[in-house]
Amino acid sequence: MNKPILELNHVGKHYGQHEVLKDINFSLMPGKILGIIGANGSGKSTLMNIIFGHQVIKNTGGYTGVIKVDGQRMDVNYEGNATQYGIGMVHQEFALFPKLTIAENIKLGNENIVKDFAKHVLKDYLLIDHKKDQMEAQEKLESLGLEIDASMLVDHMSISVKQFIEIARELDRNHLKLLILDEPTAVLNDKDSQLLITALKKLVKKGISVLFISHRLEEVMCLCDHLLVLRDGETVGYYENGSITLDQLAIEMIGEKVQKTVSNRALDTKEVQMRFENFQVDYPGEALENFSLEIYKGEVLGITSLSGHGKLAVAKGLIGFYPTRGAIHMNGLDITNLTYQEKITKGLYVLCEDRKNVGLLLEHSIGENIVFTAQQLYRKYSKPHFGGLMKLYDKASADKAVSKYCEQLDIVCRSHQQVVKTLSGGNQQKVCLARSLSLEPDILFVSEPTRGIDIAAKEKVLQSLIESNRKDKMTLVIASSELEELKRLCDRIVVLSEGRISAILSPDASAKEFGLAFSKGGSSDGL
Amino acid sequence: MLKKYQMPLFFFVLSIIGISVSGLSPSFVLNETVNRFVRNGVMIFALIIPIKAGMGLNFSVTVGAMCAQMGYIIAIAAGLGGKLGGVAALSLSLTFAIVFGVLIGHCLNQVPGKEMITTMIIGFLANGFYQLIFLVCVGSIIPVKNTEILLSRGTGVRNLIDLEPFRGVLDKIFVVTLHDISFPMFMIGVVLFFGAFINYLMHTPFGKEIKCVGDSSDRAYMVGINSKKVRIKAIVLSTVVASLGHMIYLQNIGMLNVYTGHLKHEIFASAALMAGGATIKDATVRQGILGLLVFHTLFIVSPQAGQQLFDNPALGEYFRSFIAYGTIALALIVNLKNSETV
Repeated sequence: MNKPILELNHVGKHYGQHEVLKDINFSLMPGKILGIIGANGSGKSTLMNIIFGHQVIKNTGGYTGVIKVDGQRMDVNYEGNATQYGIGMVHQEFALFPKLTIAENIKLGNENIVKDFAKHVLKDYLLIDHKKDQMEAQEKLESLGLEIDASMLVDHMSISVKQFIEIARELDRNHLKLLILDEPTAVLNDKDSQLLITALKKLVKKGISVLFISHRLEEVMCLCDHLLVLRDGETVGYYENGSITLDQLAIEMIGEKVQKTVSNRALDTKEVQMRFENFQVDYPGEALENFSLEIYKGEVLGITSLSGHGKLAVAKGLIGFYPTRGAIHMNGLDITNLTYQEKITKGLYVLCEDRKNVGLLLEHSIGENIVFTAQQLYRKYSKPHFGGLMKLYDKASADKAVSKYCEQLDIVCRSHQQVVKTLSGGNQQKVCLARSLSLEPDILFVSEPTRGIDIAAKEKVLQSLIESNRKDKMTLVIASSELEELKRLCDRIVVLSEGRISAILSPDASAKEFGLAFSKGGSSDGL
Repeated sequence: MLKKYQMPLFFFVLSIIGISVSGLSPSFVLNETVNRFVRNGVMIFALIIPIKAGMGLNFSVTVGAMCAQMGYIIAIAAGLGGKLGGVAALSLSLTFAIVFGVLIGHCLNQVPGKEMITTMIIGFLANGFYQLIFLVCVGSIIPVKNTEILLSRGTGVRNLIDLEPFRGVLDKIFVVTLHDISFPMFMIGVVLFFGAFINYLMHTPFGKEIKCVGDSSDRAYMVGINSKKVRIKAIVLSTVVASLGHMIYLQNIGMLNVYTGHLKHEIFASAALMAGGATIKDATVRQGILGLLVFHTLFIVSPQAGQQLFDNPALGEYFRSFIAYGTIALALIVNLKNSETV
């Protein structure tokens, strides 16, 4: 049994001129968990794609080096993927099919057939034994500690259940030797993460190895036998768990001590810039009621709540995604009934937490994403043609602005023409931010600015937000579930509970005060 | 429930109105409907698999129809008749259908998300090639044994080819007559068999792969399904079923319109399927059968209804294409609307 399941020798990868992975070496023994840690853009995902044989790798010229599975060399040119070698992967974006049942999803590619007749030749064209599939799927789910009816459609399942379904599917392949989990806990709450970790520990006892990719250091420390730290595509360390502390690990991962953004000051003037009166948003699952609030010019205001208690509804309501009631005034103007486009031209901008669906033009380049709104609405980055008859796109000035923002926000990319879809989460968030900064709004609403991005990118994002607040006098409203961040940044923090304002606290308020505010039944006059 | 059946119900009501306005006898309408059911039935099933695979309506079923016609023309040109001719025509058209199906499949894999418009253009392109071959090449480059099918100038196939040896051979098997309505039981069985076959396929691992690819071909790839291959298989299957469907259609008609016989079938089949309540994202065999019945009933009565209402049978003809295209347009719009409200 002392043969490694997975062995990487001098694995490297170029995207054009850009080297994203250099000389990666490690081996993984059966029944062990290896944690791979790295900041966004450090090459974690690329490494996983290489091991899993993703088509992106092949389409961009393959990789260098040798990967051995169970001592057998993995074929670089293999068209499909690594499942044949006993490698299973749980993807960051779930590879589940909502219109199929849980059982159908779990047994995908591994169905039982009613009759064994001509099984080997015609397997794909024989009737599926749904009953048996159902039973086996149910067993697999139970072995993971999940009590759920396997005949339900996946569509309605919560994110944590989906994650378990994916793991159950990979387990269902009889010859599974290695399970790769890509940021499995990024979307889970603490309780579900704990469940997942318990389930994984059970798996390892059966002799299955696990590659665990994450940037939540605590979990990696608690789960993994070995740790591999990547930075800028290079291995910076390989540790036995216990031989390194959490703080050291964080430093290894980022490369330098992260400078924490701090904001401590008193607001000099209390000029009201924006006023909500009985604002109400019918956002299913996150409704907001009776929201009356004054926002002062130049302040940094935090909005927080437990998830589902309304913190994201303010921004969504401003954009107009959901029906709203009540009145909004800004700079002395009634903007209640304006379209979002008109609101932008009046100096308001909202950055949603859902950057993939509503924040970015995924198929377009970084440059286009940054200048798009400013160019469309204000005719920025344009120059007059035909004696001022038409104002057309001016590439030179746009390029200049894009370079400026890329530098200011540290956007790591191959070129400004790179398609946004291919960027890592942190860099995508920075692109979103660059666009909102290019508009120079008077007041900026940001939802969950640091969700799903690594520490370094987080600090960069927060720092730029604060900078624009201080330098350009931009009023900032941050809705976030990360109370620590809000405490560091904000002048005031609004706590919502059950969709109503339960308290407005100073960042220095005690944990007890916050705890009470979070759990208090909503009373709108708790100002 | 009502929403699920609103399209077929709408068409049912329209046909009832049509029947009462046209003044046609119910037995005539029923006879015609049964006839059209067996004649056009199989073609509609060719559309279901591509829809399930997420490629929308496969308008290139025309290519399948061309394959069937080529099979017949070659059999006739070689002077083959009877059973031998039938087998020759069948095997030829199947071979063509598989070859062209693979080609179309490869083309469609280059344009994910834009399959419908691509299949339409492929249909037009194939039509051009087809006409070139039969109008110019046959007789000049391609030698023909049976010169009766050639135009008098020596090159090019005649407009109309008599399919005497094949006319109605399948339709005449096991016909049951009730009152004055005749039911070709064998052919009804064949149509239902194709429906059952498609249904069966959807309950095999292959069918599941198709559903997954239809849901998202990227995700399907991630779980180890070769989505490109599945899509090619789906199109090959569709083209083969289409060519079989057109062979059945031609033996029912008994005449082969060389240059126009294959046209418009894709539109009528799509419209019938949509009338059954299918959308471009999901279709079932039941919707196909339902759609066949209501759509073709309306089709039969509309010229006569036009004649009665406006004293002009030509209006009824316009009405026919209006219904066909209108149904498809409606289905597309309903589809878009539904996907927006999700």
